[in-house]
Amino acid sequence: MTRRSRNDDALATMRAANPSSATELRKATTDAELSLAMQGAIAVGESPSRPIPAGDRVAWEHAVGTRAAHRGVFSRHRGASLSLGGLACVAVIAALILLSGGSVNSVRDGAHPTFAAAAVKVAEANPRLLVTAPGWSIVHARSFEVDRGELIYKHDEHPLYGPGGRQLNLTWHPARFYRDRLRENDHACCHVSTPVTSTLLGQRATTFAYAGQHPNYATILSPQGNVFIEVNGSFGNKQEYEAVLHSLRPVGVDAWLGAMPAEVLRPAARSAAIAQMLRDIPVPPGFDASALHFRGVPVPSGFALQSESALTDRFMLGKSVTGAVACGWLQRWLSASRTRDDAAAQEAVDAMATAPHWPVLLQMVREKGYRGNALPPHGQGWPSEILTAAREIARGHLRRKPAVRTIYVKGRPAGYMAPAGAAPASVMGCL
Amino acid sequence: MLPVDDPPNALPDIYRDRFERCFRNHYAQVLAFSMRRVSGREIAEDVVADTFAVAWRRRDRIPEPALPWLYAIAGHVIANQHRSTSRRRNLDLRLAHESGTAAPASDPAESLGRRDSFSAAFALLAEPEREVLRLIAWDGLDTRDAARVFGCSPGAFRVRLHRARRKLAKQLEAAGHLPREDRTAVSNPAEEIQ
Repeated sequence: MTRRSRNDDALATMRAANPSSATELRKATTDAELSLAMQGAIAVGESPSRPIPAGDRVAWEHAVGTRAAHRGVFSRHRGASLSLGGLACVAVIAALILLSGGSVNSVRDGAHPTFAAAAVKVAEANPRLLVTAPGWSIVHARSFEVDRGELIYKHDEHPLYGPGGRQLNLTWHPARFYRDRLRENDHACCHVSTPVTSTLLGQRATTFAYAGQHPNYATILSPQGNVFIEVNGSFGNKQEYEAVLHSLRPVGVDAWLGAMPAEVLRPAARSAAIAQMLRDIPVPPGFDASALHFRGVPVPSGFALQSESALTDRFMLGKSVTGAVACGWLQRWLSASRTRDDAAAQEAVDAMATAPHWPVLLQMVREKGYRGNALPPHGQGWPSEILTAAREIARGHLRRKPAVRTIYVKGRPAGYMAPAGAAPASVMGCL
Repeated sequence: MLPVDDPPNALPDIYRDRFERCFRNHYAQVLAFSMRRVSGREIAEDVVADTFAVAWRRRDRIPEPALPWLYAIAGHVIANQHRSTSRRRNLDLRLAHESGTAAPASDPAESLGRRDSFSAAFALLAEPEREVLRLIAWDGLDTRDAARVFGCSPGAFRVRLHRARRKLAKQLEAAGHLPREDRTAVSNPAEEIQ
């Protein structure tokens, strides 16, 4: 057998082993499903606050055919896509939330009176690096915990996404994963250059450059204390990235926390937001908005509760609020069903039936581009879990399986694994 | 408040038909493309949603043929998702591993690898080699379009393809899937990369 025919045979063998046939997938997709998927894509596409960073840029550049001529003109960026679909994605892959106790009340008598006690705890355990280059500020804190967190920086004069956008992500992780993270980056699909090691702020800094039409960069700093920092961003060129990277400076607790988005940091703002979200929502008897968390129950990060140590944005807060209310009703329905209290069970069914009109849920999906006045009956992401659970209790059966599986670390619940088609009550952490 | 960045496209809906046609014609192909590269159908559907969300925004500029363009977008959506979630996911999977719970494979090739010897051989290739082969063998692109999706020149892509095919053949040969190469036969390397 010649080398050429052998290579052809290899390709033929591969063709025969195609794991996903588009023809079969098309046959298995009904027109209704196709229309629904199309509406979902349009909804995401129409939302100004839900960009798809890399893909959007690619589309733009490909479409106008300017990639070669304008290489480097359009900014490079990357970021966490949090579309409804993206949330489902996060839920499917294993995710982890560490829940902790503590208070979110201001530490009025403490050393940092403006900030939540839990936020101060995070700050004290963190290297507290801030970008000091002019025009940069933190616009999102996607997660904010002692040993892991993600801050997204934006430049004043540029949009966060799209052509001309600028973005820098700063994340921190447990120090014990430092070497693994280095290895992962080294084996990433598309990094082109040999990792460059330098010293940044007295720390060993390893920088990776990624290939592709839109080069971007990641720098991993050696651990400080119990965490290590990773910075990544997409820029027009390495010089631009390095200018921002080298503007990183360690700051004090107050300065660091003061740079965070105020809405999610200040307890007063958080309480006001919760009160607003609870407006026009039927809450179960005995519902305590001031204790808005599920004690000790691991929950999916995609549906993260606003645990006392967590700092995140309004959307995530909305999930914790609506999740707590929904779980309250579901638990009431379960207990009423057990005791054959038909009136209480019906009350829960009626309350959950109003979910498609909960203003907070509508606001959340509108952020994703949805334009209707009631939630769509089907969909992806957070509201659909609530609506599905509401339909289940209306039919008289709340599914418990497939259940989200709890992951234990050193005997403590530390996270979850969500199987496909997991029962919504389980996904919400109600059971 | 979430910042509002780019204003929404105020595109007239004369482009809606074009988008809908593009969606109906290529939904399954983009879904298959995504399913070959991410683990789990739900994640693949998310990728498809994001890909067509981009297409919707750029519906006035959808090229013809649209498929390589959609693949390029999907590839970047996947890469972006991978990068933005990899930190948390990898740490989570590792924690799951530490705690003795089974972690799902992060790459379909890894789980395929356990199924049959072809997939095992495929999984032994480096990711760029696998991607080059996927684009040609599974996504049905010619080398010009595949190069565009891959992000290199057609010439460079052909060289990569040649090497990847050779390496795959070698792995399959080692696994007993292909007969041994007859080294006395002469082939023209230039022909192999056409």
